[in-house]
Amino acid sequence: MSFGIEVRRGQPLRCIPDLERRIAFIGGRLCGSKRKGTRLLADRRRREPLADDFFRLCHDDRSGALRLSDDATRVGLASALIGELGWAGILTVEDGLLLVRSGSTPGDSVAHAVLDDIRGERTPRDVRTWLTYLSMEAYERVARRMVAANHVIPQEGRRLLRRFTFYMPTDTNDFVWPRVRLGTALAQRRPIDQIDMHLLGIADATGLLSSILDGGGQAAHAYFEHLMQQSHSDVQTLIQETRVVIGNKVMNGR
Amino acid sequence: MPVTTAPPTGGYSKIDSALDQNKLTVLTVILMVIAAAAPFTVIAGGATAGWAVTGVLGIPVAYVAMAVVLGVFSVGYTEMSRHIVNSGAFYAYVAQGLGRITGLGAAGVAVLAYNFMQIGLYGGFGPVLSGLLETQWNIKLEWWACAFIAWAVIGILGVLSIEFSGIVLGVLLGAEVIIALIFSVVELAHPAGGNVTFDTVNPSQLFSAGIGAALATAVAGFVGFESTAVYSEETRNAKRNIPRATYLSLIIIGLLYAFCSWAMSVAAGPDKIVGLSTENSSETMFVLVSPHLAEIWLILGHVLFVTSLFAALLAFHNTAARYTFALGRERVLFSFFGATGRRFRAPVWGSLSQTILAALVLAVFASSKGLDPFIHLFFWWTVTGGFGVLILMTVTSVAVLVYFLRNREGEIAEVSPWRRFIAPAIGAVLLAAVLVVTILEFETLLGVKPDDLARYLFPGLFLVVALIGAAWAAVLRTVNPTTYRGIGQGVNAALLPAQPDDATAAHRAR
Repeated sequence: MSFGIEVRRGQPLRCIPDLERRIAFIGGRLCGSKRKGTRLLADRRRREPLADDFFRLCHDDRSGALRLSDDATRVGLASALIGELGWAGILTVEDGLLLVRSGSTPGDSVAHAVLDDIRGERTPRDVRTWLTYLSMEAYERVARRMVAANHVIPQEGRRLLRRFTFYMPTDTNDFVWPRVRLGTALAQRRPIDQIDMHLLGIADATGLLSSILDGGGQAAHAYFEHLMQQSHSDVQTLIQETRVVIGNKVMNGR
Repeated sequence: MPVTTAPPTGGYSKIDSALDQNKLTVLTVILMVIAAAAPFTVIAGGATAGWAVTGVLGIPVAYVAMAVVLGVFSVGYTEMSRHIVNSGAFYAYVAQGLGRITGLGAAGVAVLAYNFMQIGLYGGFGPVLSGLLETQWNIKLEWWACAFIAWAVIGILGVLSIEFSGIVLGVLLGAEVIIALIFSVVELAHPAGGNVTFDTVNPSQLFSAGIGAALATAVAGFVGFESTAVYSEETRNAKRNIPRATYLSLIIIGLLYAFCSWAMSVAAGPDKIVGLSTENSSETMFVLVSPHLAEIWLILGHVLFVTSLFAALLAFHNTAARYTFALGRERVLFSFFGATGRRFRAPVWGSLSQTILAALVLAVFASSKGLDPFIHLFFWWTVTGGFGVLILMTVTSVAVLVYFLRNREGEIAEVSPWRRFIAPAIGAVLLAAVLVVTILEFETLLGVKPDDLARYLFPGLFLVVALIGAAWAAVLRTVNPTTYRGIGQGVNAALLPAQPDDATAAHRAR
């Protein structure tokens, strides 16, 4: 069986052509270098799927404990799963609707299952509906992928009288990498590629950003806002919808 | 989970049925709404304090009259919830119908009203728990100590975003209603002077002096029913079920309030109920039934009085916190008010600010000797909160009418004129009438002299916050148009810059 991470190793990221132009443009303006410059940080290690990196961000790298509320984690992961398909050039957002753009099939089973759900709907649905729907199983899906790739090992914990499953990281360095990568880049105002900006946007919408900024302070936050304003409009829409879905959960208290 | 690859052939979608599984039923919505209204508190606390303070006899008939008025109001209000989905219902509707400046004025009124309501309830909780502890277990604890215990628990539950589940609310409410009905039947079985009288439910009471005060007392008892519209996105088949839940809630609590308060007046005698309430305040109901019931019923009644107050405290704490949260999300207030807790899904700063405000008020009441918690905190503050909600409902009614007059295209054109124009217009007139009478009789409502400062201070505060809100909106319109456009959008305000038809967004995208 093959999973996304293995399949994608060494492969260039497939982006929507329009996006590639934007990346090049932003790369040039922000960092004084061409498109290659924006990949600088991401190339240090192989690219992990967006949702896997978000999964890492919202768990403690040593204990595997969840650092974020259950709801925000689920919605954030759903948003990242949609993002993965968007960056693979398969999905796009138009007028708030999530549309299938191409007939290609993603390599890994989780992305495949998500795409099947989306393709299975007769009429296009809005991003908010998909975020709510996918959030119901997003955590289990991404955890399954992380377990299969041996990034985490499921373990059973006990809280009072209840048993629960948590996921222990197999490699702390591997687990802490997204936080270090993003935190350092923001603190040092280094170039950040579009997918990492997407990850940061989800972290911001779910309330995790402050823990990533750690030490960077106001300047790092301003840098984040600056980059976010220039990110792709699909990404912005997706992140704002994520923020709204979480906000609605707070307003309804459920 | 099985994965389908072929497009579905049926008309019903897989994700709709999956999402429906997670949604609220009519029953859960009714339970949540009635829990906020806190029936036992209204009957044993609100009605008796109403008699004691206002001295107006017709409180039972005022409950019936208000249920009818609110029913008419709900027709347009629930219709609006089908067209504008927003969890901060009142001021969102006002912003849509009457513009953002009026909308933000209404938001100020809403935040103040729900804070009045919540903080006032501590004045009921403290004395009732203190009394229960002393009579049952001989534990002497000041009312304010009891109130602060509740305050601490509410503060913690607020930031942890813990609410009572539908089952807990259902059991508590069921028990409250059963006990209230048992007490009422016992009262009716032992009428004063051997005659069952109907003086307090006589419609002619509606035209007697001081009826404004009675109606305002009644409004305070219903506050909470309006949150049905907040759940419109979260309810199964909301189009049909939100109006249904609203009307059912109004009918259930309206009849319950009227029946139980009437029964009290029968047992005491209409001529003596005011005097008896003045003498016994929150104990009136228990004093009336104590000769005829075993002690266990009275203990149970007191316990349910406490739980009812607590459920209402938590519900209004959350409402106030969420209003602040929504305003933070709109960036009308500091944006940190719009932040959620990291570990718990809660409007952290909305909740904390409400908790701090409550502590300050409680500290003032605890330290001043001349103020009675039950009269000056519980009754004054909750009826003032109710008065604020009355203002909101009146303005909302007008806003609904204006909205439907302006928007007649598409789906809206198929809605009956009764729901779009007639009911909101009648509702607006009726609510405005109640509002005017209440303002004229505010001194009766508070039980003070006509020249007392409190008589002007309490209603005047709403005018002040409304003006501040409106002025702030006017400032935002020139200084920060993006934020201004977000007024009334609540959590959806985040989406505005991404609107394709928006000049600012287009500019940003370039």
